[in-house]
Amino acid sequence: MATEAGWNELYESRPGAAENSPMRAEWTKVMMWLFLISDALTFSGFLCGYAALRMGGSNWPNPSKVFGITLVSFMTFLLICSSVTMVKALSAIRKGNRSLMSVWLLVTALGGAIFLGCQYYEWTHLIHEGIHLKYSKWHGQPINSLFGPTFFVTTGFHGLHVTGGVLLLLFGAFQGMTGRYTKQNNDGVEMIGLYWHFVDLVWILIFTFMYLI
Amino acid sequence: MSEVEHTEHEEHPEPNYLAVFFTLAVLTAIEIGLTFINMPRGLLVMMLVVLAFVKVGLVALYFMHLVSEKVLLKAIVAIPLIVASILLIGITPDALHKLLRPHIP
Repeated sequence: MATEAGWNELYESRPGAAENSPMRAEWTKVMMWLFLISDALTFSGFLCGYAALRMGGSNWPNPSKVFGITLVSFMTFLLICSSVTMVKALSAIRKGNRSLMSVWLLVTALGGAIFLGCQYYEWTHLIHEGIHLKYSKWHGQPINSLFGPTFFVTTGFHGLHVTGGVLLLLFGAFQGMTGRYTKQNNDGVEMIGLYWHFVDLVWILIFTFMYLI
Repeated sequence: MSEVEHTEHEEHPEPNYLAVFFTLAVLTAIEIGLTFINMPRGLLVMMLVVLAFVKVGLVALYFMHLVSEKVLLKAIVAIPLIVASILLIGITPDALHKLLRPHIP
């Protein structure tokens, strides 16, 4: 079992390590990018599967009639705003301002939490209206039974990512308050940022493919 | 983080995050506005997809700082996504069929 010193040795970069890397990047960053790529492939599988099922199916409802576009636009705007607050957090710690970094991380986490609240409200409304995993109705009329599962699985998987992101942001803010990050050592904040921007990036695609098209 | 990388951060000035934010917000507004305009479905879909990928590019390049990474890291990120986009070839015939002949079930 690794001791705290062992973890720090593992986590923190050796001087010159990034410079000697063929990518001129810390190993943590390369690993995070590889994780994000694998995650992107999962989401592209979901979206391509959704497109194929929608193309091949009949009686697919018009998304603009089913979804509340005002609420979803607000959710999209919220995630874009939270990406800005995330880069502000990274910018703050790179200038050595630890408390400001924690504040921006908490604001970002708040944005994510509000997004999840909106998603809860949207799901509750849709389920109440008759859209379920096994069968779907809209205003009492049956619609394509695959509409519900494709929507809930894709947005649910994204919602899980947002939940994980909010927990990571809270953890990062807590670590920031305890002095874990400094002007010279802030890889952890950058990793949290990469993950959070990826969550925003995926939502941009879900918003277009599932809500607008 | 090593001092070497810290120096590298300073070599790359921060992007104008607010400009990226406003561009993303405007593109999102354009996307939503397009859905209210009466136009051929194929054209609408094409425009929405292009706008979505422009937005994705902006987030990846500027918020995720891919623009200031080395070519090798950019390639490692881009190649799997290009390969994944080949998945789209599988649904293209169906998509074109539906878009060009919407009256045929």
